[in-house]
Amino acid sequence: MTESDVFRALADPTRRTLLDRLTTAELNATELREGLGISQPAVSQHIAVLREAGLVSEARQGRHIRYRINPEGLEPLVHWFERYRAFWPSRVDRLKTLLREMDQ
Amino acid sequence: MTAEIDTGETDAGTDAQDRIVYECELDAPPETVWRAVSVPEFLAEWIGFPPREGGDRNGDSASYTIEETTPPSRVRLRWHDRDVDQPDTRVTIDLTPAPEGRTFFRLVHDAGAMRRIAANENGQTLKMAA
Repeated sequence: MTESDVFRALADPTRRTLLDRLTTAELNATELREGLGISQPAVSQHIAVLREAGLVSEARQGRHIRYRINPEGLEPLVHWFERYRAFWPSRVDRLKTLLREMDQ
Repeated sequence: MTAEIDTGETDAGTDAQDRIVYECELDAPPETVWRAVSVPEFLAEWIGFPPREGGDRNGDSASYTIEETTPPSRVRLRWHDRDVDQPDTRVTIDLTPAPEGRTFFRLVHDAGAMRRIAANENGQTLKMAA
């Protein structure tokens, strides 16, 4: 799993919807696509992308496969936020320096 | 020494997971701050690299363009992380006059496409992952 796999997976609105649904419950493929108006093969394909990105994992229950969020897969997202939480304060410090120079 | 008042580094509130907010009061009049945030040469100066060209030289991994300017108070940047294959994000800077010729500065970096999923996580899963 790479950072770009995760962001590519999240770039698609349908996949974000599927992931949204999984944040509240473990679901099987049928439950996942309920009301979305997409075919079973399409939902399988989206799930495959989410699984490859490490965002979703599966658990077999008898004949059914249930899907759930894989929290570790969201790490790239966490990193993005960490990066910019540190980035902007340091840049605003530079802005303050610049403003003092412009003032002279 | 200037009398700066940082009103808070980043929002630690409930929306902290879908966007980054940085607010502070700057010891310069709005007209000066406006030039610093809207003129490409000045932007390059404090962001570290100019709009459009990116900043690979300095080890920076992002590039940006000025998407919208609404003088004298708002600048919008479209932000692109070169090392992250994700849709562009948006940085909005708002300036408001503050007492004694100072300027209230508010920067919001919106996570865009990542936003909904991160928000729905409500911190719970993200904390587990962190």
